[in-house]
Amino acid sequence: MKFLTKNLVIHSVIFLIASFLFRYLISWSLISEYFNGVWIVAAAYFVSVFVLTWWFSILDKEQLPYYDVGFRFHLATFVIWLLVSHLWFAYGKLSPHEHIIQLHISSAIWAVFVLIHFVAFWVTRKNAIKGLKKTDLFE
Amino acid sequence: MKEEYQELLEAWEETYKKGQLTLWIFLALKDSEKYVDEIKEFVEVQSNHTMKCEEQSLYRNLRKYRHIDVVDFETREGNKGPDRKYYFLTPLGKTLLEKFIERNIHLFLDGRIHELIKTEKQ
Repeated sequence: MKFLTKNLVIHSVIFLIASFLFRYLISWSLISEYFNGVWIVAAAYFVSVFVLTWWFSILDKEQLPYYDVGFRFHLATFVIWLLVSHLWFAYGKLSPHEHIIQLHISSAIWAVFVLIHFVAFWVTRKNAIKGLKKTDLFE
Repeated sequence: MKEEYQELLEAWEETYKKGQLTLWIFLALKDSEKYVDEIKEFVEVQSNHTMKCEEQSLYRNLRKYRHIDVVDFETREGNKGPDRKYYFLTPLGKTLLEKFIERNIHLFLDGRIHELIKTEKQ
């Protein structure tokens, strides 16, 4: 199975930019003590990521319907989020209201979901040939 | 009575045709290498227009077959237009088709089943 498809790469680049923007707006809202803004930014980020991932996974399936129960997109999203968040911390961009422990906790919680998703993905592998679902191969 | 059988026949055919497209595409490519329009034409003409295939559906299937190494293509110049992808069966694709026909089609052509089909036709 090809892990990095064209659609996944485009999705990841857009998500990377969106994540940096999200980090900036969150830290800016907290520094400005505009706490309602945090909720607005977080909700907008969640919705846009959901729509973005959903859209590109549909495009990806039209190209070649990999039977991965969405795991590739989930893993890419998690890795980018982790990378952006830790870079933000490493470069000292976190606001005084944010603590690294919060980042570690949210990373750990998300990692558990990624792990569960990986198990589901692994289980589906036995019903696939070269990453395509056996029953969808021949129409 | 006529309408009743017609509706039942259509319902049966709808189910029967599911899974048939692969066989028709493979037969088209066994005949000779073809580009998508030619595959489409082969399938529709040779099936007496009982099989319909959209170009998009053909491309989707060919991408899957290529991914599992049963079909490949080579690009050649088209007539006055852009380059065309000429699809062909790989050795694995040829073996797959041969084995599928042996196990699933030959039984309709030999012996008792063939006789039954012939009787029904008469």
